[in-house]
Amino acid sequence: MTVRTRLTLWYATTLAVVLFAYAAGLLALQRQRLFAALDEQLAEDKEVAEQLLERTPVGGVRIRPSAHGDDPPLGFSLVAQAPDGAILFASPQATVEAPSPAWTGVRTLGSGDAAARVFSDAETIDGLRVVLHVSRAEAPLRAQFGELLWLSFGLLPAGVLLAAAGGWLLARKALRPVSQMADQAGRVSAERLGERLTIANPGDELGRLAHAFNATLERLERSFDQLRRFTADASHELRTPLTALRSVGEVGLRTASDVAGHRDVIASMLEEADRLTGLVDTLLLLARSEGGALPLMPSVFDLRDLARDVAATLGILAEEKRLRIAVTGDGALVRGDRTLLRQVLLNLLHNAIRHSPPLGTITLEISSEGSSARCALRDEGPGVPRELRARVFERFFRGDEARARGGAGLGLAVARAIVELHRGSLTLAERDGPGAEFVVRLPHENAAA
Amino acid sequence: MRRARMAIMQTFRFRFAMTRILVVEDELKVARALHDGLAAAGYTVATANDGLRALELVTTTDFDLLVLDVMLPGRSGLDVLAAARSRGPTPILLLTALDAVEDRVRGLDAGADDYLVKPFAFAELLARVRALLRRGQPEANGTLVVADLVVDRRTRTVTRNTRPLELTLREYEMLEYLVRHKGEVVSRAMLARDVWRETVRATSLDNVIDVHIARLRRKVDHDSRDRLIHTVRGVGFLVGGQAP
Repeated sequence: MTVRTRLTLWYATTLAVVLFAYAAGLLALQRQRLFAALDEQLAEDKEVAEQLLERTPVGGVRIRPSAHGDDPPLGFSLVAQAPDGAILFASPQATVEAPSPAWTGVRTLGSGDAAARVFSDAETIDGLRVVLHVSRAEAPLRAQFGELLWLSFGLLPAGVLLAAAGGWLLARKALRPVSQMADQAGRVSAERLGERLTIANPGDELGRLAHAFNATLERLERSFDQLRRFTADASHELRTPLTALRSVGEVGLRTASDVAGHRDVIASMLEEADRLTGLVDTLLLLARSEGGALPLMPSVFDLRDLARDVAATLGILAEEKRLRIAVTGDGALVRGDRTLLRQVLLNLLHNAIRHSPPLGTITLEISSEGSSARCALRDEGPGVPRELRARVFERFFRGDEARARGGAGLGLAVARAIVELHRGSLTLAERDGPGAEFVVRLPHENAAA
Repeated sequence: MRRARMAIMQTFRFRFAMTRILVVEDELKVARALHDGLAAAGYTVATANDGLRALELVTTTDFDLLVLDVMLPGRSGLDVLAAARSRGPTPILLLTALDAVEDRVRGLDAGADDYLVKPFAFAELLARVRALLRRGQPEANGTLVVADLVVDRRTRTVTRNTRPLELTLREYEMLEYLVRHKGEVVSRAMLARDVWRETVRATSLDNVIDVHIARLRRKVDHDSRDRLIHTVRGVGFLVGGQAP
């Protein structure tokens, strides 16, 4: 059932119930009023009858003859009864049959068209005790009420139907933007993620829905783009060593004639295989950390100790370039996977050593900053050109120098992925002048906690 | 002359040692390479290419060591592992393409003695096979000797031709590791894992290791005509023996 049908049905049903209750209440009230009016009329009629009747000498009653002889007919029927039940007088069209002298008040006799309303009361006519029964037919009243009844309930379904039709149209009008949105959304596919919903009224509920949907599409498109680029880059990067493997092997098979030549070819192929292995391992680490499939083995440790450890590990490379590595600042406890975070600092320091000029200094400064532990890594190299700043963390991004060296351009991407896995951040600090500064921020582990 | 001696050595090993290794590996090329490589190193090698055959062999034959791929058609490598474990304390080296910690833990829990993540250097496989076979035998005494190089493991000192060498801690550890594996090629990955205790494979310490090796070589082979530390291009380093 469509929302529109459901809406219309609900609407019509509610309307029918309300209208029915309303009409029923109104009719009941009306009926009561009509009967009250009739009863009042009968009470008046009785007064009239009382005035009209007189006692006859033989002990009965009769209509007092008027002075000029022509008696107007009574508008009602009248019966006068003695307390012992004897009928003393009955008007010509008297409708009351076999009344009881014990009756008082009003009652309805008979049913259908013959129904009559009777008002009975005991009176004394010229000293004679009689019971007067005045009555009028209920037929006119019933006809009037019937007409009202028909008017109300006969027209009610028609009214409800009309309202339902109106509601149906209204619902269609209200829901048309939803249908349009559904059509538009249906056209969106992986290939056509650029499609957006049109927002007619940004303020209303549908506008907000469309906005949210568009935002989702935006994110989806971005990650799809990223994925596409990554896939392209990854296959390119994987093909390079594969191509080298193949061509070195094939050429070696053709040309190498002695054992030494073959050894050389095989060694060269093994080097490419190592490169491929390293690349696949790194890609796997990256994919796992981004897919959340990398199990963390967290422990609490001092970031400064880790920095010292990393500096010691890579110290020999710095020595070769006669660089100085300075670890400064206070200790800062963090909780995390030490092995993975060690990888982060290794990658960053590796880069710094590579880009530093001989005799330079690399500083690893540990500090606490609010609720974060911070490790800033500064070198005295040429720094990152402004136009490349935004891209250094992209996977497979390489500066010209790194491209010449043959790195895969994954070090910073891996570092950032690992830091973000620890709910931290890795940024390139804005700096004027030479030197690059990378800043790692990790949630502080409170020593007291 | 040398070749002849090698041949005699191999015969000797076959006859008297007859170390039997079962290689369980479904990838035929890899199985064949492992078979040939281990056979060339002097072991008697049987191979099984699926889990059922492996189970059959494991339950009917005694082996000195199992090289077992975890992911197998037919039966899981872990089933084979369990069957072998229930039969005796044969050392088991697990091969896995899964780098994930929990898989390693699962394998080691199930009774494997060591593991290698694919792709691995054959040199490393050989080193681990030797280490597993040596296990249980008393460690060689505190002194290791290669030619005129003497490594005293108690005092952690090294002499070359009776002249003491000044080594840093890291250099000593590397040299000791190389000498302990004398005659075997030691890959950079082995050094990273066993000397640097680096567990993440994506970490490349290759250039760090190369610089250390260069320095170590300067100290060890400085004024000797016989070079002891050789580089095997594309594979790693070798102490003692002849560089290929």
